[in-house]
Amino acid sequence: MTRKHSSGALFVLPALVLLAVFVFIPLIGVFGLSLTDFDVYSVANPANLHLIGADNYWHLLRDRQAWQALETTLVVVVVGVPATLLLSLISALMIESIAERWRGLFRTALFVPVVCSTVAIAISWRYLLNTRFGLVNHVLGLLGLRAPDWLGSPHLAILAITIVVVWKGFGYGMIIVSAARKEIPDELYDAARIEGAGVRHRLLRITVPMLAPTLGLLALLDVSGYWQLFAEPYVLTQGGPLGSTTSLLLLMYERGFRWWRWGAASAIAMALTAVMWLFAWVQRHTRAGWRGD
Amino acid sequence: MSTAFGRAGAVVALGAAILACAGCAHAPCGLNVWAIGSEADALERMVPGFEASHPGVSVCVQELAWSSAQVRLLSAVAAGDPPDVAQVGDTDLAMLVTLHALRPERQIANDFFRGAVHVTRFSGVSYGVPWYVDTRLLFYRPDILRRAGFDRPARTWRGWLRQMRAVKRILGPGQYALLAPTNEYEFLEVLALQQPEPMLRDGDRYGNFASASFRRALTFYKSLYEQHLAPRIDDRQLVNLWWEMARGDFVFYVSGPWNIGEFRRFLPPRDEDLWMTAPMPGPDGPGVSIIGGSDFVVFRVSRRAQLAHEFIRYMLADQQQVRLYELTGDLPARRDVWRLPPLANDVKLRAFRLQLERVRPFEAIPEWDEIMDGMRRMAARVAAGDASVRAATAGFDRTVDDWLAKRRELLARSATPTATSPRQSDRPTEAR
Repeated sequence: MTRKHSSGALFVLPALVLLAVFVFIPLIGVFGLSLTDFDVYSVANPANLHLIGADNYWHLLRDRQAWQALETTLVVVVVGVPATLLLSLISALMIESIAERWRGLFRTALFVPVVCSTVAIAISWRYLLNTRFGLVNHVLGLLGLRAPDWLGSPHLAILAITIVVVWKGFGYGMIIVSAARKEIPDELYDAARIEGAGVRHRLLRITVPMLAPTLGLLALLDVSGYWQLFAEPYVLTQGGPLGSTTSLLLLMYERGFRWWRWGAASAIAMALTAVMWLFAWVQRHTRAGWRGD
Repeated sequence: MSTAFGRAGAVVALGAAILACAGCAHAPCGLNVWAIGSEADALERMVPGFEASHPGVSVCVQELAWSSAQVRLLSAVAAGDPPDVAQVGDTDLAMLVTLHALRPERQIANDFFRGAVHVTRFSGVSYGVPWYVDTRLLFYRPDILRRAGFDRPARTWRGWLRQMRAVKRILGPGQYALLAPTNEYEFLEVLALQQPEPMLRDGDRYGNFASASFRRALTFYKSLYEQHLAPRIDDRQLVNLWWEMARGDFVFYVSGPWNIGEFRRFLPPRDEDLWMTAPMPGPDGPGVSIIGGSDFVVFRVSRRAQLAHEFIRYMLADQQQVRLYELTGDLPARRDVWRLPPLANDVKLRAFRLQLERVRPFEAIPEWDEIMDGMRRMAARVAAGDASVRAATAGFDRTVDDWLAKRRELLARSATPTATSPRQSDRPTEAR
């Protein structure tokens, strides 16, 4: 019995060591930092480092920029995650409905953005969305629509960022959903058809419920990914216009690596961690509900 | 799952970095030099000359990116392993001086632009040797200005405004008198430096943005957008500003010396007369501008300080200063070099030569970059009509006071003498 345990412990040890080195120890370190005023003066002279308790957090609560960043990130999560899931589901089902020999082509085409470098994608979109010369506005112009200033107006910029993020992300979900869809036994559909269920019923009563655990998992991945929004606004808008696309992570990066206020930046990191934990907790519980276990 | 991949990637990258660094440690470097971007390329080309005059010495030049140079330098200092010599941007110097990382420098030439030397000085001690300089002034379209009835750009704000309005009348739709991208702070910084009162007060302890001086600068700045003399765009919305300028989309553009090279790169030689340079107009006469550029610094822990200084001396000789200009378009920090060709013959450089004598240094404190970035954000809100000049500047002063809290505390204890530079008291007053 004990031998079994110790060999088991040996097997999980590498994973635990990796987790400790790359997650737990840094997390404790960041929490410690967030209770200090660690900045460039502290690097110069450790005597300039003070323990300031929760001051960084109180500051954060009164910080307009931080609230705006939270709102921005929340918009991307709340709009982006459902949009990504929906697009993943629709594209997976659509690809399945077309002729076998075209499936590979479409699947690849929709998956390519996932494997492309985020920075390259963001730069391409910057050109596409250019107000005066961009392809997007050119097409809108051909349709007789007014050309909006995508990256120059605060409301549109965050929309544009969300579109880019969703466009880059949904291909991954599509692959997962198609794999999960293949797991659904055909008998279920046959039986439903015999009972007279239409397309809509088969979709809503069989496909979607059977895919729910998969969609739940994807939602969890997307939520944690979108909370860490960084590269797209960094490249597309640098957080502007008027701070409308500054995500929490971008704000943290600026405070920490541009202005060397590691204490304040660590407080943002901890806040972000707390928010993500909260989301994951809520999600776990709702997911358990879906599954019925 | 994706984070697991990310983590594995990070491990691989770390391993690669360690291997790469192991490689560089084995190379027999007589002198380690870190330089940034195109200056690193230029240095690389000039190093053989130095090595030829110093047999047995090999110089290793490591290239940093502008976006990460400061992070790299600070990390190296924190880790106790900086290079011997580095190129440091003027505004990044304060941070390294605060860290006591640099050796005090004697100025090895007496013909540097005064402003350039000034920004290397902290509490009367110089910590860098100016390598090249940089400032902001007007690029403009002489032909369009002439069509509007003016021979040359105005010297005063009032005259400049009149010219911009006149020009705007003869431009087509979608064309503007001025290009002043809203994500750049330098233009507003220049306008603010032209004012009698500085942007920080009481020995850089508090923000002074609610002063009449700064409000005047910001009001002028705001009016340019309000009157549609300048479009509210940031520079990422420009595809090729040189073509756009040649097409007449903008008549004035406040920018730096690198654009001389860029205009020539993007426009055919026959378009050379489509653009010209002129010194900055000021509130009541020729205006001051900012001083920027890069310095050579030698790190305190370097054991090759002697060789490092010989290296710097070599790079600042006439021939190398001219070579640097030819390779990068960087303007020599030494005045005498400007008498040599090709610098002496270039009409577009004349305005720079004049402007460089008429500069006012920024406040060299570690917080300055952050304050300028905050100012840019505040100004963008004002330009967009989201906040009044009075409310925005008062609010920004409170923010800046917050950022400077630690500095005030340290000054009160006077724990870090090097970080305190009583700049106001010895601001050069060339302009007045």
